[in-house]
Amino acid sequence: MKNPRKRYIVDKKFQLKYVLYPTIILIFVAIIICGIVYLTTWFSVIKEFSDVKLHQDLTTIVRMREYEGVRTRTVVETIPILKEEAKMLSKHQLKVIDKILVKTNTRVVLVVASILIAIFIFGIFITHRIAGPLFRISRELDKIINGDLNVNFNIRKKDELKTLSGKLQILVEKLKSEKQSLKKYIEEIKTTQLSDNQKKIIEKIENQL
Amino acid sequence: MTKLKKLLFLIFVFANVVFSQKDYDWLLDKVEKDSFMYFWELYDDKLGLIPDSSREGSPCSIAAVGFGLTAFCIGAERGWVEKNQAYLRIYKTLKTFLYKLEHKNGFFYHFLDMKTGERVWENEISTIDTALFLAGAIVASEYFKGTNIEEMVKKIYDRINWLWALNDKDVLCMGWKPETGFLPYYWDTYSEGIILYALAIGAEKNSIPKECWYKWKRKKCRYGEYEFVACPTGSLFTYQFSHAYIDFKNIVDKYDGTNYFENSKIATLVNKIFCEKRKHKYKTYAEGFWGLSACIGPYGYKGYGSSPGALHDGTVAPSAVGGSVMFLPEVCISTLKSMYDKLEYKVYGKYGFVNGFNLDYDWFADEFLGIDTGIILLSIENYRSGFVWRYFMNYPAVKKFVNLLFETKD
Repeated sequence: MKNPRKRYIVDKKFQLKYVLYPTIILIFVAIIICGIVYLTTWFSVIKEFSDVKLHQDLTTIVRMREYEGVRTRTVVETIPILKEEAKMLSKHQLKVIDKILVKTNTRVVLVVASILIAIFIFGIFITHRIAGPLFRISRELDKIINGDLNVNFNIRKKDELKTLSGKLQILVEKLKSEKQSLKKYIEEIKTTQLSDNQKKIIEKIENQL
Repeated sequence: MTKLKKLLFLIFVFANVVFSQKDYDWLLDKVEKDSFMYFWELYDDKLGLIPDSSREGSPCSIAAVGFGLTAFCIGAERGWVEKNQAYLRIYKTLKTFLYKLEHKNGFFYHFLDMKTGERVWENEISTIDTALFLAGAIVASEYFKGTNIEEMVKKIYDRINWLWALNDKDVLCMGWKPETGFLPYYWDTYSEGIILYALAIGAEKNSIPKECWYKWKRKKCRYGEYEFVACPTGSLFTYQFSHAYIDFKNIVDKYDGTNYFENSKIATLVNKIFCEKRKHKYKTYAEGFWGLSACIGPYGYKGYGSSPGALHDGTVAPSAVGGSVMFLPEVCISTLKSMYDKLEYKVYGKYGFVNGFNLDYDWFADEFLGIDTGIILLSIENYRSGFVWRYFMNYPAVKKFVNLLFETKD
């Protein structure tokens, strides 16, 4: 990269402000999404494997097979629906689900954290492209305020505010040329016959330039 | 005996009859309304489906939906609910069946998810359950004649390809699964499948030939002095479900002159006598209870029945008795009354009589099944007003079936 900037933190306050705002919003959004996913998907998954639901399902399956047996007059082997067995099966299923849940949640947290860190780093990188030029413009403007027109508003190719800095540079160049013209004009006036009062005024203007 | 004594005796007898009749009316009112509440309260407003059982987590049974549609009409007629409320509920259900549910040649899956209407546990496309649903829809169509309901029922009916269900045989197949194709079971004996044949033969579109009616076996069973066309299992519901809709009272089969109403009367009597004869062995029967039909027992749902199947262990189904009120009102109502009086809190609950009980095991079901609660309601209503028969028999397809295969009883 041409003319690489050594520091990415150019204006700490400014950059943190514009990185933290979206990051905080994203954290909130992530929390809300995770909450909704948990309450809808996970909650219903857990409910589906509760001992009550398993017992209901087992009863339904057994009953449907019994209905079929009665209608077709065939012997249907069905085991009695055992509440304790349904409970044990449910416990086992819930343990398995719990493991999947923990694994998935850990993955989700890691992914969300990685995304947030990436957003933060990317944010610093993006904001330094704005903060850098702003910092430079501000520094060069300070020079102008102190009467020094030897300033350079030119910024890096990929930085933001390129148009503004370009126009400021043109403005400075114009001011410089105006100053030169004025100096020339004063020199010309000085060669003419002037009263003391006029000489004093010319001197004052020259000092200002 | 003096004239005065005679008069007093007659007054006493008359008063007793009047009193007991009123007593029975109160019971019938209660049983009917509580049974109706099964359908009204458990109806799911999302798709208009009704569960197979009152048990938590039960899927929808389309046969229970059929009984439910009829129940809503009865409820509206008896003033338990507004007619418009019943209309809206039936409309929603029919909309689901017409536009949302998966079907195969117009036939529906037996069990569905209550919330999504999707097939559950790989159950079968069921011909009989589609027919039981349709029978209920037909009652609604006649009750709300001239409305959208009539139109929707016609569309559902016309969409069914009854010929497909023959599977190139001459009797109707019980069902079909996408995974295995047609089930290897057919409606080839006397059973609840009568209603299926009635709707398949009477259909305006894709009907099966009337000759199919003669193809199922009419095996006669002799029990003591009684002889009747029997269902192999002897389960009483097989003599009731079709009869809840088709009024067989005054018609006989052209095939062999059988009057199926009388046939069901005999089957009910045989069921009762079968239990009475075994009262020395079973506590339930000893207490005067009877009623062998498919129901939940201490060891699950079984196809209990009297002769010829004779699978029994002392478990009786109140629905077997309640469902036969339309055949033998005096006998059945007094048994229901006895169940209610002697075992009220054990056998009677929120939605009427529970599905089964067995005194030998001191076991009482804690749930209600839609089709069994439904048959009690429809049977009592038919006995009291003939409501279901009147509307169902008026439907053109049913008239066609009766005209083709039956003649008026002499």
